[in-house]
Amino acid sequence: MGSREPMNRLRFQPGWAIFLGKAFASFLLLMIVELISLPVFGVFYNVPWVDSFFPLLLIMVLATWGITIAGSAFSAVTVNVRLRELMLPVLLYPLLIPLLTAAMEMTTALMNGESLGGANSGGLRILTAFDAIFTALAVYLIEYILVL
Amino acid sequence: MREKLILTLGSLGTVLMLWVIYTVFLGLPAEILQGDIYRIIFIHVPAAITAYCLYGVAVIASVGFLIKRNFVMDSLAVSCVEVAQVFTLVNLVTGSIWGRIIWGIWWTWDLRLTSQLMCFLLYLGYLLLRPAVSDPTQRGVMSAILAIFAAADIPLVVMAIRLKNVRTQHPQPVLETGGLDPSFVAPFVVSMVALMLIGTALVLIRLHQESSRREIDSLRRELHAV
Repeated sequence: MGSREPMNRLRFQPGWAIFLGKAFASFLLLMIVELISLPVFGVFYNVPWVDSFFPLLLIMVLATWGITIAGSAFSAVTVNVRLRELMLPVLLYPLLIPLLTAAMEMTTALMNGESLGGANSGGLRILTAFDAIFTALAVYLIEYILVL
Repeated sequence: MREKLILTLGSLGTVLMLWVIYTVFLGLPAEILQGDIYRIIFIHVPAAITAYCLYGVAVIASVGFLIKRNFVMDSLAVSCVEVAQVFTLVNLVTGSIWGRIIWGIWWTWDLRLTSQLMCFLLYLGYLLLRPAVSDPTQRGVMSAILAIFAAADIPLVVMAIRLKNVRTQHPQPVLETGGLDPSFVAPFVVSMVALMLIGTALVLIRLHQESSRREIDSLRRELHAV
């Protein structure tokens, strides 16, 4: 335990601050890409996104944050591993399945003109729970990964 | 001492499982709505419950490793995950067979089946990550973190059929709603106990193998140092 203290003093910022900074940067980048893609999809595929823009934005923000936080956490885990380009998707995609499925179901419902409440609220709860749980886990556990 | 324990647990589990198989196939009549295929529940659900218990032990061992850096905890975690993977696979395959008979399809992407498959794939990633890291401490820490992340899926699997406003095809819970006929309860509980005993015996065998591996690794390092 004592031998790890000098390493912590070499860093000027706490580990979780660096990690969250990286996650926010990736989040912003992904959001910009998504916000540009939305009108493009609207034009090419006739997706009626204008009417339900704000619920759609909510789903986009929640799902993007989930992808970003899980992706940043796993990229920190796999950065020093052999075959790192292979390990990251192998580990990340199963984790993202409920997130992506819930987001897709809800955007389908929105595109069909339904609202997000009532029968569709289960997906919203899954997204929120996923984000909350994985943000908490990632921020708490990142110290152990970054010390290596 | 260890061999005796493994032998006792294993044979007790096997004997109980044989009793369950005898009762389930010869003692119980066919069910009203499902016919004969319902008998698969006596393996399908206990295998899942055993798997989750083992994943839980793996998570506790992982947390213990992160705190104490004791490699026995790391070995316990990987042993539990490996055995739990087998039981999860049993759960998925028996469920698939049941689904083929009842629904006419081998698989559907509803929440419970998808999240259980996801649990299997996540821990498969755990088992794939371990050989890719050569340093034991690094391997232990990364596996521990992965095990904790993957365990966040297990509440989702359990709650999937109990959530409101989530459409699932998987049958609703029967244990807490009293949907299980009294004559089914004994084979069900005994099957659970039997599979847990067999699971424990397998974990102990794997733990023994892990301690031999650690001994070999330390001898190899000593040899390289010399």
